[in-house]
Amino acid sequence: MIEDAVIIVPAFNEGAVIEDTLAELKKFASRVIVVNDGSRDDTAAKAKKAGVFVASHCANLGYGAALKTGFTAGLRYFKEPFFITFDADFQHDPSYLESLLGPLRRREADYVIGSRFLAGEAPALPLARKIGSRVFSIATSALIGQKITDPTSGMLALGRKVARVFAGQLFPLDFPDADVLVMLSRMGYRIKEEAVEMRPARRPGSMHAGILRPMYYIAKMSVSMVHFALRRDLKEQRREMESVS
Amino acid sequence: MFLKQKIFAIIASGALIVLISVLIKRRRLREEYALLWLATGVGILALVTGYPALVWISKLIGAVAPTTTLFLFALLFIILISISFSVRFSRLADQMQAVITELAFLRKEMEDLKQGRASGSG
Repeated sequence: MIEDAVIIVPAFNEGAVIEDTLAELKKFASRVIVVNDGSRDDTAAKAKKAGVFVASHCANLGYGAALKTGFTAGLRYFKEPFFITFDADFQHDPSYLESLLGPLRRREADYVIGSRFLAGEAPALPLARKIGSRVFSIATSALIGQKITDPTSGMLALGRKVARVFAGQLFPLDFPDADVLVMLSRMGYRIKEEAVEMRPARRPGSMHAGILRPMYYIAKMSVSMVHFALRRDLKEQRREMESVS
Repeated sequence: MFLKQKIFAIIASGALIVLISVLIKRRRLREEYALLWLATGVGILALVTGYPALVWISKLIGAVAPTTTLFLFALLFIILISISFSVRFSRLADQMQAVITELAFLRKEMEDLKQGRASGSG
């Protein structure tokens, strides 16, 4: 049982799967935060019934904002040194939580990505997503000078210092993934990938579904990555943030 | 610049200034949002009434006719106003996110307190 990490689960209209996800998760970790991002279904009620910490947005703000609330709650209400982000749709396998925490506990990294592309067989993704993921993997690797195989993974582990970045002003609120890696790398945080396997999501649909949203995602992510790559004040921002805490 | 064009530009910019002033007076528009709109009206009015200045600026920027300069400035003001709104929307989105997060925590704390009180009294 993991006692030194808080698991953050952003959830939007996950009423159909949240009970199973939390029941399985609670076998591995005792501290769980569910951020109900303005769901219109019974996500919040089911999460409360599962006995976890539930913070409910009164309006839907999106994945990044839900993560930000999760990290703010984690820093404010919990003392544990580590955090892990975990999807509510049953896609993430909690048996990998321990291996994600390994590099943090051994102080080998400040930020650990659960990569779907390191564990033998490549995951079955739609072609467009596979291409998108590969393009962002190449771009991120080039920008940070380190090979990153899965920059869009939502299964992440980090310590309290990085969590403060996630709860602060710098954290992008729309689809934070590859741009966050560029930001953290420019701030001087050490990034590592660990192999994880993911299951097909039990809930149909994705936040990248449709035509306009993926186009917006690609445009926004590209601008955001270049923006962080060009910023020269990020190490200074880190120093300021760590001197306050 | 033809007299008709001049009259139309004066009426349009005058109407814009009056409309913005009325909206401020009726508290339908806050002063900080009105500044750029007022600047647009006053700017166009100044350019039309100070015709030699308009001709000088047209020559300076290489515009063929003074009316082109007027349209160009009007367009620039609109771009500035749009950027100003984008900046304000970005700030508002951040503020809204912070308020909703705090509200979520307050709700959670209130529910915990209520639950504690209920189990204490029961």
